[in-house]
Amino acid sequence: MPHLSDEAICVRHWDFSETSQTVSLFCRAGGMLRGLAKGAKRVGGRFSGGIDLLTLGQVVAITKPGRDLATLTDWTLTRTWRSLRSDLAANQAAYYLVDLVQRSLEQADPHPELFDALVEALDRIEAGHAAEATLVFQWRLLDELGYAPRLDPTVGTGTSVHFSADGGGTVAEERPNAWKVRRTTVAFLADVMSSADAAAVALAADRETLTRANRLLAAYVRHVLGTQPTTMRLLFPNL
Amino acid sequence: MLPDSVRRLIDEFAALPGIGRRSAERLAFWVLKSSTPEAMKLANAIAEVKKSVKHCSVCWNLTDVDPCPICGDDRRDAGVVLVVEQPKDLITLEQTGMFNGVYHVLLGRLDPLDGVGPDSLTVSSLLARLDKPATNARGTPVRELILGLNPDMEGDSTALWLAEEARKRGVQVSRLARGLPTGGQIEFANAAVLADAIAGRQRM
Ligand SMILES: [Zn+2]
Repeated sequence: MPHLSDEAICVRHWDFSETSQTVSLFCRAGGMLRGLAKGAKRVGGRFSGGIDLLTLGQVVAITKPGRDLATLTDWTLTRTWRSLRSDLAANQAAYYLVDLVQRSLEQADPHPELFDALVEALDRIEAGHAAEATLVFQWRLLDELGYAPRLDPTVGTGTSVHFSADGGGTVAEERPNAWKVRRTTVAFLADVMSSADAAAVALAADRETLTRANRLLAAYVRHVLGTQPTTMRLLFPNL
Repeated sequence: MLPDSVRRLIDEFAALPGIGRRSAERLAFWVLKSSTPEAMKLANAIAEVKKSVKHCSVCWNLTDVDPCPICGDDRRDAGVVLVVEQPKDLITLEQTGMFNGVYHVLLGRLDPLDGVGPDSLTVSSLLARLDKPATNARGTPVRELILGLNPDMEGDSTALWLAEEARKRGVQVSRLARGLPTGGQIEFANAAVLADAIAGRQRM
């Protein structure tokens, strides 16, 4: 019975009984882990009083081959992001990010860089930059999953560019189902994606460009996922 | 081999929260062993509760009179509404004897990851109480909303959403304080509780 100890963010939790929980944890080294935490909700136990969504901790678990559900034996809460509990925009952005994680990653498929990107994004949300955090994280997720869109602001002519989700990004000619997007939005996103400091580029953008770029990436994420999560609807109404 | 009716009874007991197969069998055999009037007392109590207990049309608390005794009590301040997730939360808060306003039971909380939105809860009737005093207890306009949801992420998300709706309507909003429990030990509190306690410190 292998033991694992890992840094993890809780991306989903369910009540298993009055005192126990099942949780989905995004672990830094090990990727997604589903586990049962018996007695987790008892005060003063080995689980810091319960594993809450969008908190960071150190998890200890026992996994058994062929078993879907690990047995969690310890959870030490190490970080919480307070603005997620006091600011609606911060809360909704953070929900969207963990929803993307739990929908797109398979069990035990490690993505340490994406884990770090999630922590960075939550820190950025905490600092009051929810839109910038959302943009950079959407991009990092797409890149990590191998779906980074092709963004060429020089294709075609005029102020708008054709973006084909089926075609994986900007295309030279009009296609059925292709979206018409502003050339400035594509140029900005191309900048974000090629920059060594994507967050700095995002932070320097004006609100409108940032919103347009976020919406474009969200629409593309929706295409990649094949569904529109509720959390996306909260953040991007009328998408 | 058990008769079908006994197996059905065991299945029904096993479907109850916190009851495993073994306990369900024990309960079923207790019913079999009991006299008919004794067993029927349980059956009748279930039938009676399902027939007479309903939700209060104002606050959604469980009650056998409508409006419930809390909403109907003119010694209570119906201008202050404490919002809770479940009737059991209302009972727990009511037992403190510290609150003299009225309640609103949401019958759940928002859970965006599970697709639980305001439509799945009693939110529209809460907002109606804010918008139209006639729908609030004893026709009183609501001055203050106290959010008494569980302090986990779903509870906090629900509170943030409701606070926004209340503010739009010019209703004052507060939420229950959080931090160190009375009688507890700092040494055993987790990081989140301590952070709450520091942020929510009280002037002395
Ligand atoms: Zn009532």
